[in-house]
Amino acid sequence: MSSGAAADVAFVAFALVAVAAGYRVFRTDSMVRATFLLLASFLAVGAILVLLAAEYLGTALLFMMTVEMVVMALFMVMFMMNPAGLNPMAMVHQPRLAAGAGVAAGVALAGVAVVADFPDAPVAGSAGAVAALGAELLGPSMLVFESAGITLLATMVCAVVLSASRGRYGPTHDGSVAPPLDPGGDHRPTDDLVEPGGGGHGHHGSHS
Amino acid sequence: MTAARQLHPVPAVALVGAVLGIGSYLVAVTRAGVTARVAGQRLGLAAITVAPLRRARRLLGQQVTTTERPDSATWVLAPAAYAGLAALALSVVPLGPGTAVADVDTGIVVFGAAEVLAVVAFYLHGWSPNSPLALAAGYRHVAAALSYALLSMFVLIAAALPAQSLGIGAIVDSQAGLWNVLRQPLGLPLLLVVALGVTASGPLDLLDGTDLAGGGGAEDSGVQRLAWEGARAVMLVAFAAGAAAVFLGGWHGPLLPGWAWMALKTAAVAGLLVVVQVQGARVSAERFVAVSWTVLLPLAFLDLLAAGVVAL
Amino acid sequence: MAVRPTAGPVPVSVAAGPEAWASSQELRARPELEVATSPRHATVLVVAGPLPDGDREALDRTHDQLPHPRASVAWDPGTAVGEVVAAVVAADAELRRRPGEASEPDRLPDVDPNPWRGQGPHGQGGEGMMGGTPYGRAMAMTDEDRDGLALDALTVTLGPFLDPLPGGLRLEATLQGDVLTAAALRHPGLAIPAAGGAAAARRGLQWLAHALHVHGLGGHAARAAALAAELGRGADGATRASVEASLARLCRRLGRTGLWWTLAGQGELEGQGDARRRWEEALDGIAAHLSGQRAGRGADPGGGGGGAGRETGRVDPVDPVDPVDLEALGAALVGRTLDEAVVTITSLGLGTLRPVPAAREARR
Repeated sequence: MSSGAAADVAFVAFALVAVAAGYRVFRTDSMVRATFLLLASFLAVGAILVLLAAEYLGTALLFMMTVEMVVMALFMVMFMMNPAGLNPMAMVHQPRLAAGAGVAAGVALAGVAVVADFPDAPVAGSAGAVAALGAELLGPSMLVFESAGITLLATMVCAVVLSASRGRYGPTHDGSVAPPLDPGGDHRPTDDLVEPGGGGHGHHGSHS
Repeated sequence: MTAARQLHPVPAVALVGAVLGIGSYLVAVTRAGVTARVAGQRLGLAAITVAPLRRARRLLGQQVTTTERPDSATWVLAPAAYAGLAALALSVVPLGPGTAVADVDTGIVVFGAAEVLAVVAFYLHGWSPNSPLALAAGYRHVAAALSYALLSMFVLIAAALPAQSLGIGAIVDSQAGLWNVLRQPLGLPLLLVVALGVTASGPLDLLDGTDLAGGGGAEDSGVQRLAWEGARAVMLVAFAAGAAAVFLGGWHGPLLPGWAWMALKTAAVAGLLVVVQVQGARVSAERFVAVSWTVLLPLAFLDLLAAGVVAL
Repeated sequence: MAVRPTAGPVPVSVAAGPEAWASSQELRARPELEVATSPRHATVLVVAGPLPDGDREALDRTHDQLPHPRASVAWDPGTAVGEVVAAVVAADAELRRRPGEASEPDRLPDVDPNPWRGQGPHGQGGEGMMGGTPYGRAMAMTDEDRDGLALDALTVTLGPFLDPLPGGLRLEATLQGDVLTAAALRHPGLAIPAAGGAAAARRGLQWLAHALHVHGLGGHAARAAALAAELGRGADGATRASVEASLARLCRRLGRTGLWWTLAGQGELEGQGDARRRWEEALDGIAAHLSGQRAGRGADPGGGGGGAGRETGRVDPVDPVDPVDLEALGAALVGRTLDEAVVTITSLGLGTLRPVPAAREARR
């Protein structure tokens, strides 16, 4: 089904989509659109991986990045003081320095891609790619992946526990306040992170 | 092992379109019939078969209302992406012996990816209208979605173990002697729970729930609404086809041709899902997340463990 | 049985005042109609019963949310259900005949409530990353959340014609995500007539129809509404017996839907248990009213049923002693998610099972 020319055209198309979507991430004012444009960029990269006969890696990249971007969108809308994420707000900090650094890095990487001498060893179909991946995961790289997997699972379980209505310190509708530092003392106040006198500017330093 | 014949693009699109179109119409008819039966209303067969068409005609003639400053592009994108993902999921499922739009070697991973990418469609469906009830409904469904996505991964990988391949065609071939529903009894019930979540219906109708006045669909009207509800029916058909292929032996069966068996099994799974949709009370997101992580996920682990032990 | 219109069931949105809200639930049983959860899904707006004056603007807003072609039908108190249904079907037929002209115009001007005051090149107003007030709306500020986090807070008023809430009830909610950090309930007040027996059972069945719809069981809700309508047609012993038998069958079916499992543990209120217990008490009460009247044949049909219920010694929520305290309820809803708040309010049966006291003056 895929001749050389069709694969080349597909590669160029996906590469253009990846770069254009990545550029649009920084030119859009909507937080959620920025997130999903970044997802579009990742999806294009995943498609390129599939073209490179790494089908499993490409598809795994697709669905990992999807969930990551959805979670990022969730958190951006929750915590970034922008009603539902639909008010336009300036999404960039230090734009000139960042643009300069981005252009420089892009030129350097493009230079590497043009000047370097890549090996020319086309893979005969994707037969055996999955088996080879499995052998690698359960052989030399087992320690890395197993420890990463356990860490990820522990993180997910902790996130679910924190978001449950039981909360970290008790049921939400009972206040869910931290226990006192000294036994018998007052409940520890939770305003060590938020400035007291509510309705103020909250804490807006945590743009990521 | 039957070599899958890759279809030419034009008949492939036509095949997927026909299957999804006819399937979603039949799903709508079945749902109308089951709802009328549960409600105790006597409706003749003629009335039931024509009901979805009348509803669609009414929605087509309705104005598409808008809210204050929605994100129009993503609002329209949500049902389109959702339906596109259903088509993607169906394209890796063999609909008959050697007939698949694209029976790739990592078919089961693509199937799972299509279902996970649907979470993006859910989020956009809830967020785009710029309405508090829609946003709350979208968020709670995404919370449930992140829980059932894990379930589906384990169950699908366990079904791939006896076939020693991630391609759905190979999985169907491995069921020539014994169907996976008998070999891995935990798999199909868990996958049906995932199906309810992926189509946002029945007990997991958190996205368009009536307790939030229609949830993400509260601000939809006209063609926009028809598109979203059509996309949900289409996803139900695609997921039922995948479940039939992975657990019910696909096109295997005596006497009838392969595609007929595939159609029957898909219809059986879809019919069961429609009945659960109409007769299942909605579970709260909190309760579902708790059950999913404490009960269903360990069951999925067990399923995978058993499949692994047998495969070794 | 009425003739089905040729365009399928007409989607209607019901805007009901407190007195008419309960009986408007019987529309769910009519196959000619489809009661929509959102006004944007409907073609005809049914305005039921006397509306409090303060709800006029909300009614206009709801009306303008119906998509074109749209019509509205008034359901005055005392009009039979059949007449209203016929009027709705006729209005829909008229709309299909002349969609452009017969569709009702907007009642409120289509003007942006928060005019754009942006200045910056990308639409931001003001200076800095806060953007000023580009659409006349201040940036959402974070507020204390539990566990020491800070999250945006949004204040929104739900009601008085929101489908999952009782008619006339407004819920002023401050939400962080979908968790309520402050809730105030406002209601113009509703007294429930002291008649027992069949009338009380009918109100109970109307409550059941709405509550089942809120929990996603639309088919079962239609069946409960049909039982309420059946009681409305005649309150003699044979009707009550058949309704009681049908209700028992319906409760058995509900066992298969998993409804009891989903209700358990939700909506816990001090001294009143959880939502499941309130549902069970309500269903027992409805059955008791149906059978109590049947046992008390020859007694005064107006007040006999309540007496039979009290003689059994059970707390009968269909004939309650205490009305609901809206302030206490609002305080109890804090910390719950919005859907759990809806489940709690539904399980209490405001306006159907329990009377609502008239609201005191708002404090702020």
